[in-house]
Amino acid sequence: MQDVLKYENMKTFDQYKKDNIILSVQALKKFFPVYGGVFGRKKDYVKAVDGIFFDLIKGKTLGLVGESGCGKSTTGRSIINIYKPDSGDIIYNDFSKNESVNISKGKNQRKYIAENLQMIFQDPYASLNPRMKVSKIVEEPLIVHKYGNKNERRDKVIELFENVGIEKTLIDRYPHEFSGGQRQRVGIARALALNPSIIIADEPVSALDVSVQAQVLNLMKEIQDRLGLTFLFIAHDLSVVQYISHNIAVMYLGKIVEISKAHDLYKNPLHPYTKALMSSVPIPDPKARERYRIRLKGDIPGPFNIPTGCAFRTRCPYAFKRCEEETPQIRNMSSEHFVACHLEFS
Amino acid sequence: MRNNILLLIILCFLGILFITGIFLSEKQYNSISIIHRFKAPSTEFLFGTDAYGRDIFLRTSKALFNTINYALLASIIAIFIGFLLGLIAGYSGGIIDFVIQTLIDVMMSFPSFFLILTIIAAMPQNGWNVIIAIVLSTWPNIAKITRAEILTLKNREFILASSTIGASFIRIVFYHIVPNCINSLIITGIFSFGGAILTESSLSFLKLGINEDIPTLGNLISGGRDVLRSWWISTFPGIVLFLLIFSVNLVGERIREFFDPKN
Repeated sequence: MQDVLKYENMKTFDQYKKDNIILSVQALKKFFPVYGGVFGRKKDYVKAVDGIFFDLIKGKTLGLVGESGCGKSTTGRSIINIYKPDSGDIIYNDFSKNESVNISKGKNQRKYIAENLQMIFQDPYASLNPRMKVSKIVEEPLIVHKYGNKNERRDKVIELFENVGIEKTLIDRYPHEFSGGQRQRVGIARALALNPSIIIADEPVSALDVSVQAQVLNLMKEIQDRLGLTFLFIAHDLSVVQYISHNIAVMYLGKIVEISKAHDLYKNPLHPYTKALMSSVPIPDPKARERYRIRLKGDIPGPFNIPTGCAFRTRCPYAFKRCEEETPQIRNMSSEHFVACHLEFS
Repeated sequence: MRNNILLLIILCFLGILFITGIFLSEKQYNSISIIHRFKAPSTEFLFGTDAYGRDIFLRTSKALFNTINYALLASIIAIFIGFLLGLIAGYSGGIIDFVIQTLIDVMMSFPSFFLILTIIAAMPQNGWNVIIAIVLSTWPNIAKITRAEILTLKNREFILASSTIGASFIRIVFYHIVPNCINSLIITGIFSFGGAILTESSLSFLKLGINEDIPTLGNLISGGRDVLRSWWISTFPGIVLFLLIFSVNLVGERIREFFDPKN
């Protein structure tokens, strides 16, 4: 079934261009081997990402949400080749050169990927080298990609810092002299240095104070509008995702269970898991406490005993026999609203 | 603060001895004179003379120079090998890591003095045997510490970040890994240097180390072993050895503080 899907989704560059799809992820899988026993042999695999499909539309933000350990960070890292995907294709469509490149295949693609895809990391305290001045940190991608001479690089670095709202006078300091929000701005400046078209933001605000979160999110939105960037925004905070995303994909145990336009998903969630997530968002209105809420039973299953059939069935209030026997395939419910569930939605 | 002044005085004293040692010719520190045998320390002979009437001060000074040279060479080679193997093991993981780790464990499971004596016995006594013995007994420690350090560093996000900007392995190592493990590298390096001085001295003291004709601190201390009434023969090189080890450790600590960006 997945193979069928794969061929259905294989498009030519012109088709991608027509739909304005800049990155297409096809049947991406990433399994981590687990070693065990006396002789340290491979015992099992953690199926962190188990065959997922999605497209990134140019200039838009796709929010990727899910609980801890559902594989959302692994997805981001596999796309940017920090982890080598085990199977699947990641098609990057270079609109300026009119070509499609499969960036999951082939070696020596690191520089090509770096020029087109960049990443913003979760922890601004860990993502900056503590022994480098921030100007040097932002300059590094320029050095690696042989951009201009020293003065030109310096000008570019100052420009990048201006873009993210850090004053010129501060740039020759070390990371520990900055606050969390400022550090994350440095991280964004570094990601922007090579003029990438896609930025993968791996929970970029979850380590920040709430007041600072808004500033950083607004900065990202502003940069997106100005530079026409495409974001893959990985997060577990639904209100943050709602604020920044145009489209949202919901992940559960390595699979995408629902993907749709943001307002559609928030207005009309279909998958029981999405519904449960939505009803867990706190609403600052005392009257809303009476609303109907789905409370999930139990914990997320361990990575070694993923349930047969639908992975969510052990916690799903609507689970029936078919959920146990058959893995639900993702299907199109209405315009651009896909869901992987056996339930009939009216 | 008082500690610093003390350290400075010791370093000046050792520095003067060391610099004197550089310029001493063999004639000066090896000239034998029967009339001046077993002279106690005086203004003429600062540290006294030994059984052959040789000036202990000049010999100590040359010995300091020689000992530092041997120990420095040995510990630099050991740090280089240990760091390189630790880096490769920690960064690459998998089968390479397994092989290097096994090698480290095998080396560490020998009692180190036994290992050293075996090498000393097996090789011609030309100074290199001592250096190789020290290197072989020191590098596994350095490799093990480096490997542990690299393992924690390699999954830090800033290392991932520089790999996502397309930085090469060499660049990541020199700009991100080395500066971030310089602390532990310096500390282990300094301790290995101190250890190398002690090993060289104890081997020479047992007459197993550097050839007795070449003055090293161990050889000089050993020279006074049979004539304990002439206490100065062993005492002064001994004091210099003590001061050397003491200041090596203190300097290591100061360098570590200096490299810490938070200071």
